[in-house]
Amino acid sequence: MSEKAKALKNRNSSAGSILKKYSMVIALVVVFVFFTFLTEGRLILPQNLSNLLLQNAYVLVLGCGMLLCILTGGNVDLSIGSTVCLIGALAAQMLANTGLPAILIIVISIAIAGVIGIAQGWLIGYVHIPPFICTLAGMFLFRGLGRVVLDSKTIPIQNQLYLDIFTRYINIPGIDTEDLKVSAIIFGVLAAIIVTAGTILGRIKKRKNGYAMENGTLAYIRVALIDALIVVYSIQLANYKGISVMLLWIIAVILIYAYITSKTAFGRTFYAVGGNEKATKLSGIDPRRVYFSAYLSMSLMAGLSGLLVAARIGSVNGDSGSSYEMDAIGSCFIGGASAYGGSGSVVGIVIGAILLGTINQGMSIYGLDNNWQYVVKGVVLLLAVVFDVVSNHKTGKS
Amino acid sequence: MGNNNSIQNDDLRSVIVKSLFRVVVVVALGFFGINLIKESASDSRFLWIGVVFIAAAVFFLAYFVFLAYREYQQMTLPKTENSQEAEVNNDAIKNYAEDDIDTKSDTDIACDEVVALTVIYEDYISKASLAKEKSSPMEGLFGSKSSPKDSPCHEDFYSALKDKLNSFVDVGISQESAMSVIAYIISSSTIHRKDTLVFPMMYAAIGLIEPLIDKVDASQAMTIADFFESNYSKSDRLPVQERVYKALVIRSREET
Repeated sequence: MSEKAKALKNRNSSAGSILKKYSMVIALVVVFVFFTFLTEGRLILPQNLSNLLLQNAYVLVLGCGMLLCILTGGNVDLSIGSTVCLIGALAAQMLANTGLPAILIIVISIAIAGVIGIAQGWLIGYVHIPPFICTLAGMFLFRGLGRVVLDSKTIPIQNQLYLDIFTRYINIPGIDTEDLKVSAIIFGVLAAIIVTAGTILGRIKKRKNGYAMENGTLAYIRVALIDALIVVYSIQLANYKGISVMLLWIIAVILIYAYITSKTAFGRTFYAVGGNEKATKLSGIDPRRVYFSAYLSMSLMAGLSGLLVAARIGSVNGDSGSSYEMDAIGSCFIGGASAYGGSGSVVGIVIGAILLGTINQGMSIYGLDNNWQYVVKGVVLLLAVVFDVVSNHKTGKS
Repeated sequence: MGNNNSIQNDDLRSVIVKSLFRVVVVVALGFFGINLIKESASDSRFLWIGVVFIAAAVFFLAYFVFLAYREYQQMTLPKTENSQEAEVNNDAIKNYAEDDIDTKSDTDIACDEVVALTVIYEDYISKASLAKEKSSPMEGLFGSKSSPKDSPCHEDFYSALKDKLNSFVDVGISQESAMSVIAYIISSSTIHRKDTLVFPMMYAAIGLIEPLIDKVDASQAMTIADFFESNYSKSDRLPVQERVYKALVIRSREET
């Protein structure tokens, strides 16, 4: 093969790898533009953009927890929708019928979710019950318990402190006005500065240590686009009600999980177990502990989601959290987590969740029938898994 | 020389970006704090929140000054002769790692021990590829077992490598051969890092070099430790690899 042909082949393969790497981002942009036109611009109204993240808060939080389970070998947790219902029901009943302070109720609820996680993690990790069976049983068990706790009624939540902790909008006196929440813009600019500084420092550190780096121009174009998106989004939030506390909860969960999975040896163990369990054992990791941690973290996130959803909706009933597990699993696979385990990222899940949310919201604003919305979501999920299977088989990955 | 200039520029850029970022954090906290205290006339709760913000600004200011002092100290530390030598050796191992094993002829390879290892590695890669080819795309999906990951070839490779390394130690391996064997095992895992099928076991096999660490001298141990550190960050290292890295670092300090 001539040098020219080789150079052309290299260029094509690098363009191909860039396209593959950013395929979900491209899909998100295409879907977003498509629904913006379809809804005659209503999708990008400040209120709708604010709701896009808040309505999908549970998907983002559950998706982060689900990522750890999927990393361990494509395993999923089917019980989380029911756990959301049970924890929401317990919190609602405690708020309505006990004089306990809201903060204590939140702590108790998260602790109960932790107990559920410990039980499932122990059964899966140490008793070796297949995750699918164990969490399927949990799905029925916790849904039933949730309905028993609710006595098959809808319990409203009226505790103001509880609602403030999860749903209040930030309003800083002296900075924010009725028309414009300047604090949201300041927050957005700060976030953009952090992203830019993080990228520059990360590249400097990588170069210093001699690690492989992606093309500088590409990296800085990406950062500029992310910064622009953050600032534009924060301006839109400033024009509505500002930043919701729920957004801060989401950001905190995303940052914690992103840090754990990409910057810690503990996070690496989830990828390692998904890569090859026996090799992980030989590398000094107890896979049982990894499974246990994954399902414990998943239940804790389900508990937090139960509290967030209860506060956002303002009530809990026996159907709360129905099919939430499918949304979380969907956002993971759409975001590039492998159904074989061992690969996936928090950034991917955020993109997957926003993509699902955009499809949901776009279809709702357009007025598409709810049943068709399920059909579209199902097709998108199927395409994501087929893409994973085909690309894995092509590249020889397992 | 050019590389040194580039590193110095990086240091300078790093200092500028970090300083700007830290100034922004302190100013933002102070700005919010002062505004909240100003508003405390209308609602006394804002006073305490404002005080917390100001306290945070002062804390971060002090912390950033401390960090800046520590970074300045690190930047002005003179480089030792050993570390400069290690940098040169590190490049040598990197070049070795970047070359494809398949393209090396037997004469390029340092010793018989490495030739024996090459056979084990090549056999493993071909068996793993075969297991992959024979499997259907649905195997291993959603936590199901009997995927190529569960093929016995992975454990066979580990056992064969373990036996071979033990035999080297029993017979008495030379210092140069030990260095070549360690470099080969670590660089092989680096070369196959993107192959998710064989990488995990090759990475686990790094744990097997532990008995050979005593056979290399301090400068060789430092060269390998530097190469290892530049390819596997602290978060990449599982307990066994961390233990090997620490043993290399300890060995590198023993005779210096």
